[in-house]
Amino acid sequence: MVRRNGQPAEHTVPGFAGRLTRSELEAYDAAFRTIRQEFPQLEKLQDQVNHLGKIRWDHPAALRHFTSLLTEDARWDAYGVLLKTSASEVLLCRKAEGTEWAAIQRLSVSAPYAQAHGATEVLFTGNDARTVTNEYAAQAQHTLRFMASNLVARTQKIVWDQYSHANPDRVMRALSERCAHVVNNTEVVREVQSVKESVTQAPRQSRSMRV
Amino acid sequence: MFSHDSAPSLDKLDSVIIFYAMEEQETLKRGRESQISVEDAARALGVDSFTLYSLIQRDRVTATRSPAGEITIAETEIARLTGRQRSAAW
Repeated sequence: MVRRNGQPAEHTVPGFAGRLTRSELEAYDAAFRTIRQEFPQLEKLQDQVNHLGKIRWDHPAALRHFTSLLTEDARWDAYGVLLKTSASEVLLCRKAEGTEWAAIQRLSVSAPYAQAHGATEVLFTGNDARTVTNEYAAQAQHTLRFMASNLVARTQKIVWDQYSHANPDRVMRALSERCAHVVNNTEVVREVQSVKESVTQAPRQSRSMRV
Repeated sequence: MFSHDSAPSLDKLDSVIIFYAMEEQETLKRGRESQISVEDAARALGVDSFTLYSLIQRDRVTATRSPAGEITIAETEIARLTGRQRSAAW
């Protein structure tokens, strides 16, 4: 059995092929606790996005009108829910008078953001339902990766500040691979690696971002 | 060479410099303190985290990355997004 810092590496964690020592596992658990609430949400959203890729467009039940909604300049008929979150949903819609399709985000009307900016927003439009769905799935996947990388970044501070003695590099690899595994992606791991470099090398300064 | 009369104005200048330095420090302090997490920002806006991440990606919300890489939102941005004044309590 492999030993690091005198401890056997005998502990396994989900989504990571390697094994952790007791100290590493303690660091891992402490860091994971900070994202434990958001993590199941990430998994559920990924399941919904995966489902979008499995829609059988040749099946008549794939598209059935179930409600209508108004945007600033048009009335839309909704034919499906592309994604449903705890406080919003994205609907696959067709213009009531026309052939255009769209992905439309609908927020709760009581949300402060919706009160200031409106509860519905056309995210994008297309000529057919399948194209709009595929485009939305790609966009949602991109957002999930962004979300996952931010969850990992949050664990970063705990691991490096409080467990710098416990092989933080390996602990971060285990955490980032777990998050990357959920969103079917290896970019998160690479992104976290570059963030780690900035944490250890760059001067402490916040910066505006563009994603 | 400074005349005797100019001495008080130099003192004033020093005071002004100190005042501005203190103001800048306060601004930096406020700036650091006024950043909140994506989850807290989402709660304040009445949306979920995923929706807020997508709003950031679509440039509807301005976000900042901390040195550790975590995304944060300024409270002033929340006030702007909800149409509230800067003095509003958050």
